[in-house]
Amino acid sequence: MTWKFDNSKPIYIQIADKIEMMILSGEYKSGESLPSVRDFAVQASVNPNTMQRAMQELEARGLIFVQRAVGRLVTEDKAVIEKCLNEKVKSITLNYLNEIKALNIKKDDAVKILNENWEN
Amino acid sequence: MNELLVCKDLEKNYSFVKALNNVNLNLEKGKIIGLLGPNGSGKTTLIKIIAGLLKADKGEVFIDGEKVSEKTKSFVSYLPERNYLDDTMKVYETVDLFSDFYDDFDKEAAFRMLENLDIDINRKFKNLSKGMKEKVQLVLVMSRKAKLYLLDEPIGGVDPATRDYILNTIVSNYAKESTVIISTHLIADVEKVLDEFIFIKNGEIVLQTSVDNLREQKGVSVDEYFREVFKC
Amino acid sequence: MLGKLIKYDFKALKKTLLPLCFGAVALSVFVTILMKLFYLYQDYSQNLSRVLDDIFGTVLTLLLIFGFLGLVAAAIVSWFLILKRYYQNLFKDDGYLTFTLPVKTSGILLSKLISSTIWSLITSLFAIVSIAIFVVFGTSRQFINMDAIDTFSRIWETYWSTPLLTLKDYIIIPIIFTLLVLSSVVQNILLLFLAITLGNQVSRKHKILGSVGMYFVVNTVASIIVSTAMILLTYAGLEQIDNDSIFSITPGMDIVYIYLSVAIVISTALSVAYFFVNKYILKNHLNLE
Repeated sequence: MTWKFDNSKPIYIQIADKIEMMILSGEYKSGESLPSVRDFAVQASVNPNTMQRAMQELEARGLIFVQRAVGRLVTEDKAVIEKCLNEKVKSITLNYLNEIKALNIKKDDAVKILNENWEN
Repeated sequence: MNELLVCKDLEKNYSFVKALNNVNLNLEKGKIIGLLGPNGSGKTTLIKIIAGLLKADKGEVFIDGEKVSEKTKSFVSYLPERNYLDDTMKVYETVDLFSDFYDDFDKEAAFRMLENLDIDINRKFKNLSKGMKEKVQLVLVMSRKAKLYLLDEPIGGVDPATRDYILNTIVSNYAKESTVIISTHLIADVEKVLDEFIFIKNGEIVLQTSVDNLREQKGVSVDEYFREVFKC
Repeated sequence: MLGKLIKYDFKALKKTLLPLCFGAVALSVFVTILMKLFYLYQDYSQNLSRVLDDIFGTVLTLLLIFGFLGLVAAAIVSWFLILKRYYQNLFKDDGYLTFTLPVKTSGILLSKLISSTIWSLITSLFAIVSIAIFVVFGTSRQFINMDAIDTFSRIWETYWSTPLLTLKDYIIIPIIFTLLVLSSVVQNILLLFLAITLGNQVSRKHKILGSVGMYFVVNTVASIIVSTAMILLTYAGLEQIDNDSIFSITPGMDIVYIYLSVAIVISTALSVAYFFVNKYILKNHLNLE
């Protein structure tokens, strides 16, 4: 599987966002070790240096940390993950609201459509 | 010293056409660099000079501090934009040839990659399909632990699946301290594997910067920026 | 590294030349067998039919001509194949690999020279064997042509018993003969190599035509230089030695040896010149398009 990137943002930011999603969704669990930079780079078909930078970005966000002789692990601080998750959900929701409100749809109707589509 | 390749004031003329003019480059170790420009912009000429197939009319090239010679050829791994193997040879014979001449060649890695590609090593090179030929050559070139890889149009004329395979092979095989130069005009496909890129136009270097720098500063991809710079 | 280069050049030449060599021998055996069949026919027919005799005779003559032409063609093709290897391996796509191997230009050229020399000697040997098969087996009603063998052994005996030659001559002759053959083969190959290299320099479009032209140019230049040098040397020689002394102090075969040695030296000098001019061009003006 090769990852798709859009054109405007730096690639390392897009990679970091993608891995952040993987962590928030629980694909990589708290305390779990991540693949090596090189393996990750091959998996994503990107330059290892770019992957390295994405990892640094994730470290800066506090989502992963480096442990000697083991490699990179997902943070064990549940609060950090929680906080990131909340931010993410909030930003997605705000995006959604922006677009749906632009259509002048009533809240009840929007919730109804949301409920109908939730299970699908 | 972190510089692997230094080009100073390179100039090359073909009869009355200026192929390269005033080319100055400093490339670091451990980078994948795209040499990007339209056809006839001087990409291949520059690569051939670094590989030692052409002599520059003016200027100098240093690779890891050495002038181009049989010594630099021992640590430069070059993939031309054509088939350069004796096509009456069988695939395993070409592997033997590389292993005979290049001390940095990893024979086991080569055979492993060929096996993963399902290439019958007892077949003659000329009986392989075009895509297979390109893959075999790439396998040979990337099975060397070279300091500098020169890949001239490695993804031209192959299908998208092969393109991905080739890029993955490059990313997963180049040695950590070494530098890879990929020349191409198919920018969208290589952009994500590049650290830096060089724009070359009418034989002159017009820009050298990192991919993420460009995106951060201008908010555009290399592909989009290329279309802007090289607009006809 | 030179050894490895030679290994690959030798193998590549073997791939194309060995079948040709066996082809030449097979051709010779084929013509020999047809000759035998013709003799058989003659013995049994006892001149029964004039017309049939004529037909068989004509067919046979044509076959002999065909066989002879076949051998000549094989000789020409063998040279063509040797030169093709040089041309393709240096100036066509294969050159991209040849000139990015970590070896010196002189090594590349030397390897081509050595493998080509060995193979041109091998093909000559096969040519001799092919002719010998026909002469010994195909030219007589008997299984073996005793006359041919007799003639050859008489020449051999005469050579070993002629009063003109001393023990010294019997040692020098094979040496000088070998050197003569070797130096002229080497000189020829290097001349052809140089012509091809130059042909690639003078014209981008008509490389083969350019090579042929350059062959004559280089050959002419070389013979002008050699004859000028000879004239100058003769002058210098005549001034130093009395006119008749060169003949008086060198009796018997010695004068022949001196001439042959001079020929070998000239040929070697030309070879060295061809080699270094070629190397210089390949090293400094190699322009693979």
